[in-house]
This record gives sequence, C-alpha cells and structure tokens, in this order.
Amino acid sequence: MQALDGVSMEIPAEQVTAMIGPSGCGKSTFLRCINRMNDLVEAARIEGELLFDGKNVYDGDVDPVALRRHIGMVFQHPNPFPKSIYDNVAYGLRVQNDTDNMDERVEEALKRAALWDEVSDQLDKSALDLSGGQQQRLCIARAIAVDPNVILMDEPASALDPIATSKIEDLIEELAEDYTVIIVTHNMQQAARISDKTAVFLTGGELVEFDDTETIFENPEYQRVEDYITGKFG
Amino acid sequence: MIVVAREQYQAALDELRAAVVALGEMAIDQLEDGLRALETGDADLAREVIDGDGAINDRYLAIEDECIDLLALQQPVASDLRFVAASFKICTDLERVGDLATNLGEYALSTDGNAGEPDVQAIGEDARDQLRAALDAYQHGDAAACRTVAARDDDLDALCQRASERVVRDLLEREAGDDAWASERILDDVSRVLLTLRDLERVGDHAVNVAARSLYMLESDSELLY
Repeated sequence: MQALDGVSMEIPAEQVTAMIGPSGCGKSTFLRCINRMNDLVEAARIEGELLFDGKNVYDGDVDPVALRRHIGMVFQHPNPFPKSIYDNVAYGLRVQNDTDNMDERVEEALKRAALWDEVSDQLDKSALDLSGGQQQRLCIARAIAVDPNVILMDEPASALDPIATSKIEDLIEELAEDYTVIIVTHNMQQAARISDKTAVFLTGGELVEFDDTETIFENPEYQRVEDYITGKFG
Repeated sequence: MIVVAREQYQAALDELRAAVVALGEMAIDQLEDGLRALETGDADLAREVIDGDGAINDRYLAIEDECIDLLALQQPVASDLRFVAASFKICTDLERVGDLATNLGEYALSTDGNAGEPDVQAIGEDARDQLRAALDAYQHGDAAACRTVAARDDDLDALCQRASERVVRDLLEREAGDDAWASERILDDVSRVLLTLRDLERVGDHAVNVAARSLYMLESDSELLY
C-alpha cells in the first residue's frame, strides 16, 4: 500500500509546524520519514527527496544515526530509560562521547525543558518515579541535550492531563525560538494554539493544504479541509 | 457523501442564525412602527415602540450568550468561526437599530402628528429596505447582495444630506421673512426632523455593518469593514 502521496512542503526553520488529519492519513508516517525512522520498517520503500539544509537525507552517504542527532524525536508516550533523571539527559552526550561540562549541559537541557525547578534536588532519582507530564518533559530534555536542529513530536501531549498538556504547549513555543519543531497532533485546537504553519493530511496520505495556521483555521482554501476541521467528513 | 458529525453543534449554529434573523425582524418591525407613529402621531403606537425595546435588548443579550457558549464549548473554526464572529457583531448593530426606532417613538410623542418633513417617510423606507436586504444577505449567504447594500448606502446618505439642508434652508428663509416667527416650537420641530434624519442615516450605516460582517462571514473578505 502507498502511505503517502503528493507530499511537497517547505517546513520553516525555528517555527512550529503542525500536521493534522484523520487517523491513518499518513501524518505520523511522514513525520518518521524526516529522520528516517521508517528505515526500521521492513519493506518500507521511499521515493522522492527530503532536503535538510539542502541535503537529501535519503542519499546513500547519509548515516541515519548521525541524522537523528540533528533531528530528534519525542513520542506519544513518555519513554524515559530506567535510569536516573541525570543519566537520561546525559545519555545522548555519552553515546556521542561528548562529555565536557556534562553537569552544566544536563542542567541547561532540563531548564530548557522547563523541568529543572521541579527536579534539581533529585537528579539521582529514577526517571520512572516522575509524573507522566514530567517524564515527557524529561524526554524533551533528553532530545535537546544533544543540541539538535529539529525536534519531531508525535502526539506528545495526548497521554497527559490538561495542566501537563499546557506545560508542554508552552514549552513547544519556547523551543521554537531555537529549534524547528514539527508536531503531529489529533487535537486541532492544540495545532491552532501552538503552531505557525499547519499541514492537513487527508485519507490516502495526501497533503491537501499547507499554509499559515491562521489561514487554515479561519479561511482554508480547500473545501475538503474546511469539512474536516469543522467536523464534516466524507 | 458528506457525513455531518457533531449534530448538536450543527443544530446550535442553525439556531444562532435563526435567532439573529428573528432579532433583525424585531428591529425592522420596531423601525416600521416608529415611522408610522411619527407619520400619524399615534401616541399609543409610539409608546409600544418605546416599551418594545426591552424585548430586543433581552434577545440581543441571549444571542451574545449563545455566541460565547459556542466559542467556549465548541471552538468553531473556518467558516463556522467566521459565522459566529459575524453573528456576534451583527446582533449589536440590530440592537442599535432598535434603539434608533425607540428614538422615533420619542420624537412622535413630542410632536402633534406632523413631523413637518415629507421626505422622512421615504427615507425611512429606504433605510428599512437596506436593513432588510442586509439581513436577507446574512440569512441566505448572498455575497453580491452584501456589496449592493454597501454601494447603495451613499444614495441614502445623499438623501439625508439633501433633506437636512432643505429643512435648514426653509428655517433660514422663514426667519428672514417673518420677524415674529422665531418661536421655540418651530425650532423644536426643526431639531426633531434633523435628529430623525440623522437616526435614519444611522440605520443605513448599521445595515452596511450587517452586510460587511456577512461578507466577511461568507468570503473572509473584510473589504466593507471600516
């Protein structure tokens, strides 16, 4: 089966781009194409180009592991390692053997992820003892500790309560000052609240409309998009 | 086939549209009664118009509440959002037309049944027709009709301007020809006619506002907003 079709878009740097659409429309598949997570899917075949800083990430000389250091990812369910809070954040740096000023960089990542004030006196505690919302912010801290350019987020707040969700949303807006954030969400109001650009995928993996978020939610160009976001669908 | 989800939400949008149209009908009825009271000097009818404003205000507030509920609870987007935003603004214009109709009732009570200016009725009917056309454009989603209402407003403004000038000119000529004439009564009559013309011109402005918001609602086009 073909999961994506006719997807052509220019994702702006250091802004939040949201991808919305019904279940099975291909938005998460597309997100995973960006840092070649779909390489892990057996029999997946990809055509076309995906340019990151002008370089096609599917070129033969691109190392997917190195690519993922530049394009980090945060998943729907928080997935901290069963290690201390500190070790979770330090993990990526250690893997890269990049351990200078480790304490400062762990602190900086936790601060950027708006978690430092809540965990600064318990860095040795297991990450698994944190609340769901804290775990998700820890995963964001882990992703940004290696200083990526792009952060992909696949429904990062869908398993969280409203308070934890608003903390994540605030954080996403702050992160966009330094990083390019691309988020898949089922929550259209969330997309409207936090994103600068919105891409609407509809059934068949087709990117139907991609525009400023205000335009998508106030005056979309395509009737199919209008029908989808206003709750009519065919 | 289009499947419509959120049936209650869709029904609430339909009810909002019907409520705004009903408010508009009430405002038009009040305007017509106010004009008739002015024409005939029917004091009972004038008082009915004045007393009837409370019902318009109540309905206006109910519509505002409904709009706020829809925004808070249903988070409408795209054309639905523009519809709710336009309705929220339009109901204010319709409520103001009700206030202006009340003014006509007040003027009717302060005269003996002769407003002294035959143009007032014709201009009043023009203003009413403009409001009717704008309300129809909102109800039926007619963008061309919105633009027509806006274009015709200049005609109404010109009629009001000419009528006002004529009233003032008559006053000056009568003053020049009759030294004993300058009674307070006649000045009151002239002031009342000028105020009536100003109010009818404002009804036309509110009709344009209704058309402008309707055009925004339909086409996301703010060309008529000012």
